[in-house]
Amino acid sequence: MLKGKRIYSAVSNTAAIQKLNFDKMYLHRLYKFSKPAFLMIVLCAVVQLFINLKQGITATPFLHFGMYAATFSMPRFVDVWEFEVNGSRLDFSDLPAYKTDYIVEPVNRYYQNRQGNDVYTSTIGRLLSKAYVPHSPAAFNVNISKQAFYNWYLNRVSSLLGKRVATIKVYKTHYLLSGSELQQQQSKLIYDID
Amino acid sequence: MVLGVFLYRFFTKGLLSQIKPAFFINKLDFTTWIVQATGLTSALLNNFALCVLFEAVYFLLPFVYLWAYAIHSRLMNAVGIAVFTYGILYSVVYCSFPIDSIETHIALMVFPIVFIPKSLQGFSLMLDAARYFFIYFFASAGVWKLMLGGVFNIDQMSGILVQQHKEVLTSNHSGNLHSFYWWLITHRVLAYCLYALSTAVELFFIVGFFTKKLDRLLMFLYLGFVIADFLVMRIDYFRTLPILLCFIYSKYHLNDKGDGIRGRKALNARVS
Repeated sequence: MLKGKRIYSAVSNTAAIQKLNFDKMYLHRLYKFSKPAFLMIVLCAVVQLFINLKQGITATPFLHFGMYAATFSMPRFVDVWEFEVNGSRLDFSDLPAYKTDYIVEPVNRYYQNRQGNDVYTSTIGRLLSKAYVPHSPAAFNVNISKQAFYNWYLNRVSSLLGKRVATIKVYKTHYLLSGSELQQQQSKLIYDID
Repeated sequence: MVLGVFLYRFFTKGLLSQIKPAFFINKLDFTTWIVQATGLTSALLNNFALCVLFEAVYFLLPFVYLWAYAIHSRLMNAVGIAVFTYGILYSVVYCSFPIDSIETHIALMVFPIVFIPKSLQGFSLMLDAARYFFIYFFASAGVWKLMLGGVFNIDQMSGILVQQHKEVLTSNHSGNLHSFYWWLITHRVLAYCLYALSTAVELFFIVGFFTKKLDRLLMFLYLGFVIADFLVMRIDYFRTLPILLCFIYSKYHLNDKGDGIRGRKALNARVS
């Protein structure tokens, strides 16, 4: 133990360590102020690092901040959601970005929900059970009837566009990227809402 | 900050009470699962009254804190904790519906941590904590681009732009926006330079862990990043700007007793 103290004394007296000035370091100041607060902050830092290194499930507010970090190649084909509102094609270049998201995203998510691939069955239910968190499948049921979605979506788009919307046709159109243009290949009517 | 968010959401029809959500999405996020398991997310579906109540609490709590602070109430600490935890709860629930992405709410969730402590010293330490968290948030975005290889791909930005703006690119008429995005996509080296530059800016934020002397520069770099992101990607990160308050106030230090402020300009500091 005495040898350990001598080694510690020798190390802490080196010029490099002297320069660090522990008193000014954030964690040292936090520790002196409040040990519970210090433990909380250190725990948060450890959880954040663990979640980022694991690259799997997040736990808000501990998120992955790797937006657009994965490799994006130039796609050969692109699928685009297109909309006909009251019989006229909706032109998104005339709309602000937030309205585009508010119109496209619900259709995209509803479509994905209807494809199956139930995350609750494959992942959520299993992990919540492992963590002994009481839950019921009904609280994770993402399905709604087509009519319920249609009714909600008509009202939502009417509100966003500031006019009465009687019909919406939603197409999924397949485009080929060729040079500096997207050439339409195939268009399929997915939802006919009225 | 809260008033700004409310007004923005109100005029863009982004309040839960205006959306009246009809369905939600299951995400790979543990906090979201805990909230969903309580039944709160399901209860808000097609429930205008509950949406109004849920949002009213979120937007009014900061004002309750302001009142508690003004009258030196013993409840100040408890209200501060309520503001912080309810802010996270609200953001988690809001992003469970197909409206928004949780990353844009990071400042709204993290910044209220400064309202938890009772003392000036505690406030200062939590302000620093929020500052370090934000630096990690932004710098790690740059690290991810290195680790996942995005920055080594010359077609990266062009590929991102095609996916991000496909609704505009397939529009009927050729406006300025349409032309601008096609021009960037076809000039892939220039587009890649934008991506590489943003990565460099993100990685530069690592200096914030070692010194506060460059905080003003970091602040302007982030502001530039948010504006460029909005113009090039049409992504709105303006809601994260309040976290820059951590950089603005980082130049102030507590005095030796920990009950007052010293710096280039004096503040009227309240001592608890």
